[in-house]
Amino acid sequence: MKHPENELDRVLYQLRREHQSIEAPSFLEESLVQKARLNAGSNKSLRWSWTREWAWGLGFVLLAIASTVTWWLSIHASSHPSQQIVAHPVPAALTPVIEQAATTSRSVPQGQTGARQITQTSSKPRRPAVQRPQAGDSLVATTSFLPLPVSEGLPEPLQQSVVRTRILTSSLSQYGLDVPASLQPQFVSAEFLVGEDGLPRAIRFVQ
Amino acid sequence: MFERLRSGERVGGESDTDLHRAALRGNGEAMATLYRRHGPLVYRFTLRMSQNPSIAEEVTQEVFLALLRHTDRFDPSRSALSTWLCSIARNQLSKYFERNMRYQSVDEDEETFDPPSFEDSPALWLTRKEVVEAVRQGIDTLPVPLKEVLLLCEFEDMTYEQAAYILNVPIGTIRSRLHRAKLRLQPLLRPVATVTGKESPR
Repeated sequence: MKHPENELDRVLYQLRREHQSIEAPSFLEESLVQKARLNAGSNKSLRWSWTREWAWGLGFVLLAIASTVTWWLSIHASSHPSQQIVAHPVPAALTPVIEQAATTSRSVPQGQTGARQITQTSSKPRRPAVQRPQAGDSLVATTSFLPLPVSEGLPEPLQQSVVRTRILTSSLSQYGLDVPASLQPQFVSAEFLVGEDGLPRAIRFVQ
Repeated sequence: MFERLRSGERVGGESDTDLHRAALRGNGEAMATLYRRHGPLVYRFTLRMSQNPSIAEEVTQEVFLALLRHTDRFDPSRSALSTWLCSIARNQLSKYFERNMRYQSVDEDEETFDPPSFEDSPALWLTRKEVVEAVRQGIDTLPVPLKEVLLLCEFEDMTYEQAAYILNVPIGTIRSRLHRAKLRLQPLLRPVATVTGKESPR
């Protein structure tokens, strides 16, 4: 006699053998092999897309760093007003004009050629546009002080001031300097030697 | 049984993980080896559950394609590849059953199982072959949750732990479902006891 539960186990064992004799369809194997080979290509494109994402991310990070540095530099620069002066090189076409002015006019005393050697005694309030040379100023004089032709005949000043400004090359003619008509108008940085009467006596170009 | 399945994974000299990596790199032979190794298990399970060869083929193909697509979901430290494949197959089948409204829950108290009756023609069920056929049909008519537990634990020799991983239920649930499945199949053996004149104890 067999216990029904044992009989069930026997039947299940028979069905298990029958079940495990079932084979998977072979045509699926070929299909999967082809899909695996094709999938390798899509995996490559996936890796490339990841590379692109990394490149974009890196680009954004670099852009953020560059923006931060630029912002910091602008903030830092604004804390030093003297560096706001933009120096422009003296146009090459002006050099012969200046040289000519230097040879035809009187010479400036040697002791008055440096801005830092001039005693400031004027108590008048200065215009906002006027910039004065300061210690640590990065601008460098490219010429010595050249007497202005328009200052001929003026009395010798007792006290002089140096006034730095940016001026159009076309405006130099009003000081008696001969500016070629072919020269394109542009701003140059210059320092004027101004007497106590407010009239300019000499000019030099800075860079 | 777990050990048996795991040792079976190294048939052919390469582990499933190595074959999987090779298949992801486009090695067709590795994919073929994986299919020959685990395809029958997946196909048998899906065929028994769906009782439809075309559905079984489709689901089996989807399961192995998932192996190529969802490369990060299979964790060799958590489960054997065969177990993971069966869980994918079961999920695919569940989606299919939900679409076709064939999925039945067995959590309700009232169960709607109607085994074949042998009262009308007991002579028809005298032989063991016929009893086997009756049990086969009885298994096919079991509710899905009972049937899948019976298939995994009895026909595929999986452990309760493996079946619990595949079906995503506690081990205790596996035990109870298997017990209930066998209880439902036991009436089908009654003709054998009747013919031999030895009724089974209740």
